[in-house]
Amino acid sequence: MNQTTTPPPPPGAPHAGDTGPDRERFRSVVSTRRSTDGRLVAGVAAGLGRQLGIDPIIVRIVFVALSFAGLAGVILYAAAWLALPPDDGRPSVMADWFRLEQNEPQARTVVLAVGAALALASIVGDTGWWWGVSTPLFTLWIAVPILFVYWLVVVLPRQRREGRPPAAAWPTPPPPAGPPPPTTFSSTSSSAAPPPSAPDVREPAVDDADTAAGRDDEVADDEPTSELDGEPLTAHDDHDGADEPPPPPAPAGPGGWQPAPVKTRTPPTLFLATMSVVLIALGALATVHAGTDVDLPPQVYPAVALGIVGAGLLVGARWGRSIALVPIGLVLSVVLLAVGAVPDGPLGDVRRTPTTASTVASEYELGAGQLRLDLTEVSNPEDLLGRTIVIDGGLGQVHVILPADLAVTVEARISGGQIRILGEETSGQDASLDVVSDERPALTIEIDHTFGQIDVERA
Amino acid sequence: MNQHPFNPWSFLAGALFLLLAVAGAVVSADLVAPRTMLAASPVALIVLGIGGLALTFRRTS
Repeated sequence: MNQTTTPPPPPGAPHAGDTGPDRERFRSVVSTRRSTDGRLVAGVAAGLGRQLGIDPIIVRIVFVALSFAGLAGVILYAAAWLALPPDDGRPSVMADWFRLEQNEPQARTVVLAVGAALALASIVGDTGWWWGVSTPLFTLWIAVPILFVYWLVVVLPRQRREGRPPAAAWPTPPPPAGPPPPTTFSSTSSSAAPPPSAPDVREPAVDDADTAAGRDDEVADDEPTSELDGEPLTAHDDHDGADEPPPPPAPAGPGGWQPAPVKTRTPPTLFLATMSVVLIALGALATVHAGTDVDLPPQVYPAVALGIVGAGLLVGARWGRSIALVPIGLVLSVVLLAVGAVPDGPLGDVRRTPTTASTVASEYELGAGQLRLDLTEVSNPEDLLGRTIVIDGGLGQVHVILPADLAVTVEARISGGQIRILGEETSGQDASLDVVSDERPALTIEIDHTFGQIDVERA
Repeated sequence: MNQHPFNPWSFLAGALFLLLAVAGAVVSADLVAPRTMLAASPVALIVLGIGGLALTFRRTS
């Protein structure tokens, strides 16, 4: 939320709130920098809010609202995270991953435009949440795994090999105007900071895309890097792979001051390994589900993922960093409970009117809505005597209509709601009502309903 | 992965999530009725809580 640290844009640069042509607005968006100050996730909303001169909360609300429209908000955010560079001088994620260098501005424009197009298509065709139904989402189903594999196979080994986080720009600072700063910074002190002029140097005071690209082009891959995010620089014992030696101190720049030493951010191995196993398990389950006749209940997916996350946390009690798995586990727990609360069976208005005893099924299901089983059209109701019909209901109403003179025994149970059977009635939580016929044989109807109403009546 | 002192909260969170996952899988497979699982859940929570207390005092003593 800190919008006061941003230097004013240079004269002539497109400014937030300008009512210029759309092209200028688009250039303004393209030249946005992700904010490293006051960010919640990747700094996209904070950066856009700063660039557009509005509160980042408004931008976040828009992103969240668009996420409910075919995941358009997620698509836009992901595209901006990939394409927009942060405001600390580092190149964009996309530029770092693919070594774009001078092509970065063009690629940034293309990625943002493609992201906007995909988001728009998602809003227009907001129909699919699974494989292949919606083209944009289908694209994401392919693009996201491919990007993940590329990061895992190419980017991560490269960063480990080079022993540094994604490259950060260290523009040559001008000599400070004030008193000479200390010549070195202690690698064990979190108070190490560049001289007062340094933040101004590091802040990309450029709003024009081409100019910004030129600046990004100056980023040398072998230059030292720094996060300078205010975290303690000696927190190696909190990171996986903390036994790696600290990076060598950066050479002193002009003016005698030296940038803060690089804090090597090692990847959260346990988190990545756990989430990778989760992805593999979910993919395997989906493959089994799609390729065989095995009927997997939907709860299996979050249950398996939650179990793997739990196992990862157990490992994290002794090895590695596991704290990031806790929110994942909480979300999966909510998903598991939510999916478990939705009963199996058809949804909506389900009507069954069999015409012969042989077409009367032994079991009927209702997910949510209304199930209306009308037995009055059965031409040979005497053949139903001695049989048992089981009705498994979820949410809504189960309505059974019986022939006028058919001997029937009804056993009904409901977790919450009302039961009315042939003039008898009960209601409440965990209510049950049995109406037993004196005649033998009789048709037996067993109804197990979750919430709503059970009605059994004669025609 | 580096080894560190035992973290009881990670252990408890992992145990809780594992219990939830097993409960969800068992119920979805119709091995146990949801009502039975709901009746057993307080016992699991109490056991986990006692374990957490024990780990906390063992850690701080």
